[in-house]
Amino acid sequence: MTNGDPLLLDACGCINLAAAFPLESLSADLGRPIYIVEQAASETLFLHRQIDGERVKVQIDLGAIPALRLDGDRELELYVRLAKRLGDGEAASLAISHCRQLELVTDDRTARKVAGREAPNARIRGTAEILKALATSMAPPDDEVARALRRVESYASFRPPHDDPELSWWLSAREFAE
Amino acid sequence: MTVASDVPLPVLGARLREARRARGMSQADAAAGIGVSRPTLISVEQGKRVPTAAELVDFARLYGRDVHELVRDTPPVEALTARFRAVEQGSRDTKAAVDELQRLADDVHELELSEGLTIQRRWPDEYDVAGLSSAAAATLAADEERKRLGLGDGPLLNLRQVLESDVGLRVFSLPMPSAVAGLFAVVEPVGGCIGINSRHPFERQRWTLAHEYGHFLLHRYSAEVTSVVPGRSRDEQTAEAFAAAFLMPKDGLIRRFQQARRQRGGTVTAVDVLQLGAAYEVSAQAMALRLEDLELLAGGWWDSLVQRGLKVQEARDTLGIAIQSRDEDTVPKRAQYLAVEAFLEGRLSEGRLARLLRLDRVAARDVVHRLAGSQDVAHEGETQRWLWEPEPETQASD
Repeated sequence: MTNGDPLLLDACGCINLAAAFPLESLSADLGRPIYIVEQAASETLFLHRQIDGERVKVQIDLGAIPALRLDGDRELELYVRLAKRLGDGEAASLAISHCRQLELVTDDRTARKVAGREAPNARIRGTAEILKALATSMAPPDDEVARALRRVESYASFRPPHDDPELSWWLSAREFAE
Repeated sequence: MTVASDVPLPVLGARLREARRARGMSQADAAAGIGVSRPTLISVEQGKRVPTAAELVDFARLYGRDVHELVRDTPPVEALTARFRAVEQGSRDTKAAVDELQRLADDVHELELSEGLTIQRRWPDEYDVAGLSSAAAATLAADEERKRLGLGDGPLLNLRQVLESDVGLRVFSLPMPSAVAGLFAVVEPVGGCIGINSRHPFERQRWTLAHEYGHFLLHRYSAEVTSVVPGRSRDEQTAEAFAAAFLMPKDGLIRRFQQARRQRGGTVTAVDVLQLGAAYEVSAQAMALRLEDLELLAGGWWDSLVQRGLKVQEARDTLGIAIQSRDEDTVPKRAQYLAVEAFLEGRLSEGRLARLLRLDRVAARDVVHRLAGSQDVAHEGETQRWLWEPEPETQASD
């Protein structure tokens, strides 16, 4: 992972990272500018938190993440082509990632498959990979990392799939006893 | 430039036309909104001109649609809204509900086609009830359907599942104006579609489902917008009578009523009626009126009880009769399973899954966990839980 390079989040990755850490500090913590495309940002982005025994939807504040807009025929044409199989946010994220060669954070199996065929320049990263990089570079206490991963599981209902290369790191890091 | 060139142009044109009409826009207004001439727009809608990517994105914005909705390659279910156009649609909110029913049917149809699965129709012929009174027609259809579906004469507790799985109808739960109970239409290629008001109480939703099923059996090819207050037309009266006879079959109900009466030494109280209503998952009022119709209670029994100050909810609370949760499953259960399977195997993205289920992403993930998981009890009595996950991907499967 190249330090300093911009990082693009699709809705799936954005939700997961927002559950782990405040998005306001993510860019500084990673040492990289963070972006989201307009279509992904406009898809309803909530975390589900347990408040007073009830599961409550909490809107994710995207104020700290600048939104990118599709620009030019090449991006628009790829976007429309990808939107045949993907949701608009996923298609727009992949189109910009491919055309501008930005790393894209998504855990979506379908988006990854489609990218392999139709947006090969898109460099895909998973949530676990980003959080592991963050844990390595920031070196927070182990219990803080464990709490962050549990927040992702609880607030975002996400755990890396069985074939995620960082699954074993995730499972081991989340179990750290406080 | 050939944008979305693998989408057949007539399909793309039909989708754009359908989206414009659903938005209530004229061709002239749409053309002006996109910045093209009206003949150009007509040519696109007729599938004779390929729109540019920028135009497609503009169309989506103008019509309030996702780009995905416009460029998928299944033809739109146009006939559904057209069928409803022929009937009185009422308010703008009702029209919005009809449009949403069409979009849901469209989404589920697309999913089924892409997964190579179609719904099995086990439809009976329309019942021949010519010359019969509404009550006789309703009783005939209800009894025959109970027999055909092997439902016996007891309470029918899984009505939606029966209609979806055993009959092959598509049932959707979606927000509608409070005065509208349901929608019904049969159109090809999607078949029979029923919409129930997701904001109504559970028992009212069940009644609506049975009412719309009555329309399916007796007046299949008329689209219906069902009001909470039943209409006076013969078709509406028959559908109401069908709902009563189908949900509360005469023989089984008489048996249970007599049992309750025997237990009380020959009398029946409001408590018994409330409990019978709960057992059949209908409102206390619906149960009382059915018992009056069957002459098991004197005519006007319910009205007099209400006049004397019966508070149904308080009585139910006292008796410990729980309020059932509203049915808010937007799409049929079968479509949910199909979507979750496609999602887990990488054929349906999370964005599309969430859109299909009309949920935010995290809620959609919860549905995946719920439907993909399975629980059982092991030998030692401990709970076991499995989560279905796809096999690791290989080059070949890609």
